Amino acid sequence: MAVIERGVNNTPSLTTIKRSPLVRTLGAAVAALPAYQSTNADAPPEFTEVGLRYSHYSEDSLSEDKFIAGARGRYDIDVTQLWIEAPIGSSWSIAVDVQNDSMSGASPWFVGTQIDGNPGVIMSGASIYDNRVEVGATTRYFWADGNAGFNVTQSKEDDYEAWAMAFDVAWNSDDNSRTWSASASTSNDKVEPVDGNIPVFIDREDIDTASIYFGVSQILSSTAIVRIGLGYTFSEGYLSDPYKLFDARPDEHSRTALSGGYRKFFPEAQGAIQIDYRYYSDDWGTDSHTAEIAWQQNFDRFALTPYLRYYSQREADFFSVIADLDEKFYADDFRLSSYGAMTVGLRSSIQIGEWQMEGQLERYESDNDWGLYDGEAAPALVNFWRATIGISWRFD
Amino acid sequence: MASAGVLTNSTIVTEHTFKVMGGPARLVIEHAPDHAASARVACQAVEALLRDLEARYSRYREDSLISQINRLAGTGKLTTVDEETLALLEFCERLWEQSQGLFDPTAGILRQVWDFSRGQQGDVSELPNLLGKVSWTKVVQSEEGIALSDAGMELDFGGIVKEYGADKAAQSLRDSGFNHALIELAGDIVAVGNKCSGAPWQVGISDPDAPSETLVTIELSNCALATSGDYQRFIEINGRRYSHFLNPHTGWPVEGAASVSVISDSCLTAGAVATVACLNASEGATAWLTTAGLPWLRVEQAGECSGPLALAHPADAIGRN
Repeated sequence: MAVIERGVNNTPSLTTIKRSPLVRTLGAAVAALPAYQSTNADAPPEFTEVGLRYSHYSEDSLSEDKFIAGARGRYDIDVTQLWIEAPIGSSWSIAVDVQNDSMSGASPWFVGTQIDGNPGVIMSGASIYDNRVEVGATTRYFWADGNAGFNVTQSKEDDYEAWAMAFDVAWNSDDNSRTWSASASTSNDKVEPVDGNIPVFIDREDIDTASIYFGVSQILSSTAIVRIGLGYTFSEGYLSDPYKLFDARPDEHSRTALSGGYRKFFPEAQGAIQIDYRYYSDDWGTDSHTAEIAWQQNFDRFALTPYLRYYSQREADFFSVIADLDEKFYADDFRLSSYGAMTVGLRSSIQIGEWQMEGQLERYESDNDWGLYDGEAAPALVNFWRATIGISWRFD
Repeated sequence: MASAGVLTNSTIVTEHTFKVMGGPARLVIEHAPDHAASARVACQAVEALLRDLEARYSRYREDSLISQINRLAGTGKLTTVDEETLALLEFCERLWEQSQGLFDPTAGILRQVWDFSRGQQGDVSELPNLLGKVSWTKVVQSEEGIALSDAGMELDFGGIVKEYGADKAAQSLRDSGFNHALIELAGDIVAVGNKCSGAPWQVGISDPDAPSETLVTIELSNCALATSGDYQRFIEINGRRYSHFLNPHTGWPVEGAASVSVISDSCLTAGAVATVACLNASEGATAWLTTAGLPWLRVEQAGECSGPLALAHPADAIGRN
């Protein structure tokens, strides 16, 4: 949008005018009208937004019948995130994101056999404490038909340091009904395990990862949108878990994921149904399905979204409940086993003036019997609660 | 589709003029020669959508949705309305709030007292009775529909439908792949993109006193210019000139501008800001326009111009006397 200035005049250009609260209020009502619903030219955010989010993740203790030794209490993680996003001029935005994860609890060390013959977990002896700090910065350029962003992120903890760079671009079709998006990223991780409660056998190792993604979303009508995307990620380096006693994984890992989603808004109900699906497959023999269904119910300045997610995966080729050390690659990590998982959750958000508050609570449970694929049950399968609260503030 | 027209010498222009919503309409599309047929189809589609808006929202048409709502005023019966109408009502609500009630779509009945065609003051003793029926708060909305609570009330979308129509026409052309076009609906103008040459569209704000004369020429690209006011329609009372805009709180014409023009990204927003500026007396209008923060031009009854757009020309070229 622009008023082009004439040589002799000083007509103010709309591109340099900051939209007043009055015009923004009217603009919000204008945007709801059918005549404007495909005119969403890409533009930087109109406001500066500052937000703070806190999330608590808590794993259930390992049940008595699956426990052999160590500490039964599993991970608790507190995540605190602070972000700021601001427009710069009429075509750019910048965002900075700082996140702190603080972990405590015991983790499965290896799987052995109990007196009754069933597999049981030997946990790390006592609580592990770790702190991770991640800092990311994104700059984004907007033009009439799309936008492109560049992100750099550094993550650091006692025993781990990672640098990542990502570039993404999205562009809209002439009639704005279709958006293509593509991204590429690369990261380098350095693992330097610390000898604490668990003995480790490496000093320092590297992991290099590269990934690409291509996606398209299509507006089907004024109330429906569908999207589909394909991503590929390749890692090489030290991909085993240094904190597990019996864990020897290949030093290359390539994975592919196909994802799709559908959103349909029902004006009479003031609500929208959201259906998402993802298929994942990798060269370690694992593949998985994730399906989620959610209903977003809008109230005046308030929205509630209950959701249900199902996940099922096939075990990796080198997984066994008790690691088979005769093989070249072996692991007893429950995350590589065959299992199914259900997540039930509720998201809510409320808008009061320039303030937005959000809350989320979810319960995750996993079970070998719930999966679509055969495979022995890993005793360390996890269940957890996660609660999130956040607040953000927009200003000029 | 029409973007091939960057080669100026291969650009052709399709123009379509017709009358709609009580005024002249003009569509200009610049496009490549091989899109001439689809440009004509796009013009027909725009004319059809504007006629459809007129059929639904004109208070002069017996069979319009607005007339139906007005006929049922005071009966308690709800009229079912579509999403577009609900969204227009929502826009009215916001504008009513923001203008502190100066913009009120129920104020049309006040015209019964003032005869602008003859420039005469009517029977002001009728005003108290009529003012009782002017109140946006008496427009009842529920999930089932909309109703006017008092008999004799009237809803009038006249202040916004033409501007909305201009935006809708622009969107229709964009959706058909034409990105170099100009839409003019009796003084409300939407520029779709630039001209094919890359130059902006040049439009004139006409002199309210002499519509064939141009006060200011402005270059527009992908934005809208709306003008409210009509210098031909005024009333002189005790030697003072009043505009045809009626204050819904007093029922009296406003001693305000002859016309106000505003530029915004949508014609609806530009027109709304311009209309409320006309509903304000001088100081209030300037404060309102400053609050809105959009480029504007205000032409007084006596002919002086003010506002950021007035600076678009040397001062001596703007004065009309």
